[in-house]
Amino acid sequence: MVNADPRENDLACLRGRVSDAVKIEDRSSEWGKLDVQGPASFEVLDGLIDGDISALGYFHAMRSACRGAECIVSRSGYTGELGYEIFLPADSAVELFAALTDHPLVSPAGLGARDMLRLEMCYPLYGDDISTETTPLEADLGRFVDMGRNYVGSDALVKAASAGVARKLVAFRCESRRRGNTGVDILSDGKVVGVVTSAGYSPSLGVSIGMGYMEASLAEPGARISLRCPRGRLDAVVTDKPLYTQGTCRTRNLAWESDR
Amino acid sequence: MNVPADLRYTDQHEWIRVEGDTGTMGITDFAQHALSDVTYVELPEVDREFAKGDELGAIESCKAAASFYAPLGGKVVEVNESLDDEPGVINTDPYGAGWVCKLALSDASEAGKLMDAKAYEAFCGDEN
Repeated sequence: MVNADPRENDLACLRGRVSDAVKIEDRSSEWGKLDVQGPASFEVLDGLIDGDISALGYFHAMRSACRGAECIVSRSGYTGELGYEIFLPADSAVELFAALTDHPLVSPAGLGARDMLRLEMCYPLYGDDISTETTPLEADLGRFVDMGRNYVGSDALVKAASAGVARKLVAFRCESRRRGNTGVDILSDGKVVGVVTSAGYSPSLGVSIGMGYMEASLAEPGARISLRCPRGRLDAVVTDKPLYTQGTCRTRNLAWESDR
Repeated sequence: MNVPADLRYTDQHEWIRVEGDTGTMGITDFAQHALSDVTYVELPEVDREFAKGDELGAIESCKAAASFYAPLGGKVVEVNESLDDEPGVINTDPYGAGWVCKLALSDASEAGKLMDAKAYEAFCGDEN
């Protein structure tokens, strides 16, 4: 399952690295994907998915069927809330979207809403917070990297881990509702120490927030910074992640409401 | 779309209510609807002098940011500080509690050159 934008590069990369014994088929155009996210998502999907999703743990997936179409349902998402990602044949996706948005508890959400939800959770966005120019260690994703194994890039990561990273991806909370801008300098004591990679106004927190890379030695929660925005300096403070801490994605006991 | 008959309008979707030599201004219902939920208003400084068409400040929303401009030349005499805590009133009451600033006008008679309600409505129809 790859990101849509870099799909061709990723495919070329994979094909370039596997032996002739491995055949890779790109079936992207045959599959669609819908995300249902929010505290009521179990209630919404419970009737729509044939299988029993009540036992599906966070970050687990199962094969099932939905309104006659085969599907894969994973309890995952990009919002920090309880939610599911449904992978199904592309020509069944439109019908499922219509059925979902007909549900009284469901509203369609656009990319702007999705981008703010993931930013509130400090989930990085490929192309902005992470890219071919950054490493998982710099991006504070070290917990997803197994340093004891051998894979493409593992040597470089082991070297980087022992040398220490020069910059780190931090989250920050502004002191205003005024929005920061992607790409502007992060200042500390008047000196440029980093760059903003994501920024926006958080409706859940009532202030502007963002992420960016900062000199590792200064990148501590509590550090006071300033964003050099075109319309003036915006003061902020480096925080722990996530910025929004009331997310429901790890909710347990989903079947508690019904007699099971 | 609400377009009060007693106001004058600009092609940047500002409205102005002229009373003697004072003008009260804000952004129109059309503008607040296009911006969606207003999150922050950058207000001009009081006593600042400006010409018609000068940028006075900016209004940010969840999905966009837009500058607003002086409908007529003059001086800022008051700004709506309640917008600091409640910027959303621009969405719910753009012509009343959502006023943005009050201006001492250099030449109030220039208001006659701005669009009236009917002309503005037609203008918005073309924008759509």
